[in-house]
Amino acid sequence: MRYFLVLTLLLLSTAISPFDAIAAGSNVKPPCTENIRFGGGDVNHQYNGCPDDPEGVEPFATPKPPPPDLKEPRTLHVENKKPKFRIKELDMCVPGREQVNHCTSNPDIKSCPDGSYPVIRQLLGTEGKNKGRVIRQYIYCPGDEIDAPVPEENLVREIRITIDMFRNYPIKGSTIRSAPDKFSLRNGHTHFWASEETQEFKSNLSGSDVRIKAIPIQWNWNYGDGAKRNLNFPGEAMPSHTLHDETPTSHSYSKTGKFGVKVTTLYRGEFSVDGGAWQAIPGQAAVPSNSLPIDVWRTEKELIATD
Amino acid sequence: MRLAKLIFLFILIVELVGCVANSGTGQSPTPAPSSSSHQSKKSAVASASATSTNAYIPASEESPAENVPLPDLPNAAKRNSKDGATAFAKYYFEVINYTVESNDTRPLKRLTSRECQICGETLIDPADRSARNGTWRVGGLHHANVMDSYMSAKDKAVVTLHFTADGGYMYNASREKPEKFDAAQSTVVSMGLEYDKGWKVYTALFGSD
Repeated sequence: MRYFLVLTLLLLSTAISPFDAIAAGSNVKPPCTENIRFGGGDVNHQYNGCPDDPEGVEPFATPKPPPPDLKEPRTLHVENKKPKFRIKELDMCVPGREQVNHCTSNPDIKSCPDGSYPVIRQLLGTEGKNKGRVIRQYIYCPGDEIDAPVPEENLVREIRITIDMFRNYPIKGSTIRSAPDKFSLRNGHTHFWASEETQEFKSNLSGSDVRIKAIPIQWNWNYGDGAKRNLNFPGEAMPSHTLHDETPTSHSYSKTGKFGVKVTTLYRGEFSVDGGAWQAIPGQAAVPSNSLPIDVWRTEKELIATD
Repeated sequence: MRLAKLIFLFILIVELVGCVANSGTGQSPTPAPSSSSHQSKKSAVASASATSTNAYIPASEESPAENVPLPDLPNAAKRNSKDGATAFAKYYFEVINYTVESNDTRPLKRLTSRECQICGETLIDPADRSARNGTWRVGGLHHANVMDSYMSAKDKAVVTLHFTADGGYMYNASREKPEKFDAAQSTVVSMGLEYDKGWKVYTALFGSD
């Protein structure tokens, strides 16, 4: 009997406090808190449970005027035949210059699936109030479709080599070599090096002679065993190299087997119109190399002993 | 009799434990004691700042920042040139941080055209509301690096930056539970600047925008 009473009391006392908390919780309004972050971004608590603005308080933000119609046909502007927009492109990051461009500030700027960095395209107005004003911005990777393309006739006529045009020139990838040639021993330092070749192309665009240069700037190695690394130099032949010597471009396999070594070379581009100054092409063309087969063997002391 | 004693003892223990638990978490649902404790803390802070004149006190969970120093507009940022626009954009981010800490929007309003809707919506109006509603935050500072800058017309420039923002906590005067907010991933912003006796931001485009 005594125990029964104590037990009921225990049950009652534990039951009361959670009920209290639930009752109090349901009456509490969501807290009024607010963050200030430029652009809003991924803030999930921008404005929460605060009272409405008092009467007569004007917000600073005013509704945006409708943006200019990017696709409006030019024939509607007979009196003003000037194209309405121009394009300016810039590099998000340049391989090898990540520190300089602050691309490696935490968190790092993400590279495109092919290893190059995205290109920032800005659309600027050319007439009236919009002259020199930046209207839209697109960040894109080579091969991406830009979601709101502007018809060519609405753009200032100028010779521009985009990253996608640049990628379409027959840029050759690097050739890989290894020492020992296509062969290695487990845990030895296999020395690899790639070729480094600036290539030049000629084109005729809108009646102008255009020269295009492709300059290799980065070699993204894939050793075939899961190991990868990006280097901003290709390495070079080392005739006296042995498997004991680690080099800036060597790799050591911890397993035996057959592996395919590949390198993706990133090329930056420059172009010159009718013999004019060389201009940079924002973005990089990622060009894959051949695959170098490598056979990794193991050494065993007993083999030497029985021989 | 022995039973009554035991029950009394038990109730006493339960009550005592309850009291300790309540005071430990400090989340009493009744508003009266918490608001009075806030007032006493506020007056304590007020008297403390009265003695140490105009010293900068960072925001804490107890109270918003006080005497936040307003960064000076550098002379370089006053020029109508590419370098002037670059210096101005960097300065703009310093003033954003001043506003994040102080809820004072006057300096930012001087540097921002009302055309910049996103500047109003995400910086100025939230700060004005925060000042009215007595909310503040610890953390949330922005860190920007200039990636590119160019003059797009005689009196216009475009400065592209990428920035991150710290995570933190949001507080309010009624001392309800603080709300946590996350850090911002690296964001690319292009700021459109227009010069008329000084630079002003007329637009800010974030990412693909």
